[in-house]
Amino acid sequence: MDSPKDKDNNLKSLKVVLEATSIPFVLLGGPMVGFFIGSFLDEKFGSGKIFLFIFVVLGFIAAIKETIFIIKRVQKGA
Amino acid sequence: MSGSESSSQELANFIGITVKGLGHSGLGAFLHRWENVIFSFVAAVFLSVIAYFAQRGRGLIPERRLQNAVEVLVESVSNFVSGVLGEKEGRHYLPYIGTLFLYILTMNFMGMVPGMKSPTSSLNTTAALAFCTFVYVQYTGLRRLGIAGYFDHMAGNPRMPEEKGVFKIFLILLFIPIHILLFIIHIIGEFVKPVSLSLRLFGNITGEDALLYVFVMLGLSMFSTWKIPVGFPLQIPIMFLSLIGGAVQAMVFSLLSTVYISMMLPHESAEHH
Repeated sequence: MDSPKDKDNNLKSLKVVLEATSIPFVLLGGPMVGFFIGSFLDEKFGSGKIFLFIFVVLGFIAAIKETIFIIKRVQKGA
Repeated sequence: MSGSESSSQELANFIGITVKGLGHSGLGAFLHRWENVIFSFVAAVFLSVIAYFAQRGRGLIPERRLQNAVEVLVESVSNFVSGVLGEKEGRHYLPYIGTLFLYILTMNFMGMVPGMKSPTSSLNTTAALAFCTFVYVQYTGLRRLGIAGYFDHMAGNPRMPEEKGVFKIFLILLFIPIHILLFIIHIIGEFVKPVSLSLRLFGNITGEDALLYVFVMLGLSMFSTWKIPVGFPLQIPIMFLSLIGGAVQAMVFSLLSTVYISMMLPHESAEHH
């Protein structure tokens, strides 16, 4: 039978695993959001693909930032 | 066996069968278009009925099994949320997070009930749930931090440099574009959260439904040589996997929603990113 401390540790481990599984979707979502924002701005201002490129890069940077934050939280929780 | 006219691999549900029976009528088109909303509504009604009967004739010491079961469930979710937000904040945000968890869990499990469908296998449903969380998180940030605090948080907490003289002016001129860039990156990051929430839930539940469909088809094809209209229940192990997967995805969605709320709350120690 698990003690309350063991149950608490199991719950913490589960939370860590659950948070870590979000990393691929965050890395996918960043450039996607940047793509949509960039496409919208390019269409609005008729600027070719300039905003698309800029915002995909910014989206990728945002995704990496979120990933680093998730990893820090996972390491703190582990 | 697909209940819809699309090429999606999913088992038939009662709305899809009704739509096929109605043909190209207005009612058929309406039911087909609002299929996921109808199933979402069924989940909401189911949870409401359970909640109503659980609280009816309730006692401080539960004597009825339903009240006892629901209290165990609520207490588990409360401990889960309090583990992230703390006791005081956890109690405040438990209604939203708890509802989100139970609603998503119910919708995920619905796909395994014969004649039903998981509304969360549609990106529209998961995107709507993620949008609700996004709006609630931003509202929490604005309410708890104030407008100035919210924009300060979004810009990465810019602070005036402590240096003096020309060097201070140089640093201010350098930091302004950096903080503007940080602000834009943070805005994009806020939009990445609901996108990742919706894609994850949609992808996992759609995959589980597709797996169930494939194994049901395999089971049916086993006896097709002898023209027997029943199949071997090969999908049973996949249903256990779907139970686990559905529960895990509901937990992930709720946990990350809780984490995003906690990131918007004022912190004693600056744990901003």
